[in-house]
Amino acid sequence: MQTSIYSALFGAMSNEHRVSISANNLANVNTTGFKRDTCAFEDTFVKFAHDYVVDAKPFIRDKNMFPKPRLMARSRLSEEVIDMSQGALQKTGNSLDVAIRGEGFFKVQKDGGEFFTRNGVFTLSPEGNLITGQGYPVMASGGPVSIPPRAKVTIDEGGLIRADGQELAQLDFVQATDPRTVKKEGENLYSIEGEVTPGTGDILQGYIEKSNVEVINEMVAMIESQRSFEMYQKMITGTDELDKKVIQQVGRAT
Amino acid sequence: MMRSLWTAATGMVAQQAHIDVLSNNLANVNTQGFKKSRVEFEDLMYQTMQIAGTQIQGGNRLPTGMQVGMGVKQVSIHKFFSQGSFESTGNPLDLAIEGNGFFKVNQNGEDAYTRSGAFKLDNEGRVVTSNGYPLQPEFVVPPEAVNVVVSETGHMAALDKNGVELAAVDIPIYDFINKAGLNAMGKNLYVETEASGTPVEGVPGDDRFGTIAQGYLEGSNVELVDEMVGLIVGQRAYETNSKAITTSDSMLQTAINTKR
Repeated sequence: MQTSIYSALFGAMSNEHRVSISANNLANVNTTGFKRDTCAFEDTFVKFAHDYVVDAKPFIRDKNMFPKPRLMARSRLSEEVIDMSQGALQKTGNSLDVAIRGEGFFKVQKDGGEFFTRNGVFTLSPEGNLITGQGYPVMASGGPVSIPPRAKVTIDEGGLIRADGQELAQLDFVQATDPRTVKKEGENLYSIEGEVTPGTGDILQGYIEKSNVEVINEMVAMIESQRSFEMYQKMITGTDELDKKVIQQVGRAT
Repeated sequence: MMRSLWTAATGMVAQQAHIDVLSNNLANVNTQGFKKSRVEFEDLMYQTMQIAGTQIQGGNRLPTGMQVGMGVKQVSIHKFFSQGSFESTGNPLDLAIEGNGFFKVNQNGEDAYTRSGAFKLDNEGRVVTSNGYPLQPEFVVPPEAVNVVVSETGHMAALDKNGVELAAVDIPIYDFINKAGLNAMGKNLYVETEASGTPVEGVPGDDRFGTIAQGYLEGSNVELVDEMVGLIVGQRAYETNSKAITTSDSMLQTAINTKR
């Protein structure tokens, strides 16, 4: 069998994965604080082309007249990166909506563990604690923060929460030293495995950060993947055609 | 089958909910005391294809992992309790709350809370909502009264033609720690839930409670422009997700055509 059929299969599968990523980005085009995923591919040459610039074996008694054609470029996913670029800021005027302009994450507590989010749409629990929409406590000054009933809440650019002008707590606001240690956990949450440092972005009260998915980019990516997918399919059928010819014609008299 | 088909389907479902909420806001743009709702989304779980830090050939570790997301879901639809605009009506039983607070009414034996202060008198002279639910505490306006006055602090008094007070009651207002957690019952009424916390009674004007304005009604806090922009955003997001489905579909078609 021709190895090109497998090379094309790898290519087609990579593009299917790419469409899955685009579809997920598009599904989250209106998710507050969502960051789009991007992916990169790499080729996995079994041998590099220059390995084959060998001296032609001039004598027919020597074993190989030509190098064995073993060039197989099989593309596969190499990495997936979260594009942490800024999303658009939308003004809501709600005092418990906060957005981050620049780098940084809010810290929330979920099942005893610490998670991070860019979705600053907070509400109050029946006890008056600041929580996310899913009910996870938002961390400020190292713990959950309780807002006095009916107090007028202001949050300044540094994340200092004031209730009726009185300082209450400082929102825990961090960023990862190595952005590659940030991992998505679903529910708009991230986990950071590496070191964290204080966030450098500004906190804006009364705004929410929209998703940074650009529809046009995703659409173009989808067209590209779809067409490459079709191209790989042609390679598979083409290879199939070759194999068919080999089976049917080679060795036949006349 | 392809993941992307289902991922995009979750996107369409979510945008459908988005449009549903916005349509309800628009339908109630002229409803007294109506508070707009907002829908919040979150991304679904991620399928990990390759874990970051996995050891690869030569002892190196992968710097990043590979995860692919499975779509979106709605996480909450919550009410937005900002102040609505005031309309002057001149009707003495039209009350608006300027600031925090709700009126308490009795809905068939159960407590319910409202910001719609368009009160009327029933056949017994009781102050009731437009649906006939009596304001709490109940107040009966005597038949010989010619006027009802309500002060900023909620003192409701029925006066005769000489301005003598015939009957009076102090109307308290109620507030909740988490108003967004109230359960909307329709008919402009809300009931308390586990999430909203228990109602806190207060005198209008005291301790951050709102004051009462007589002869005014609170309009809805729906901003038409915001909702229209939201509709456009929702519709376009819906369309783009449907394109992701058709793309996946034609890729499947291509895959199927491989075998003739």
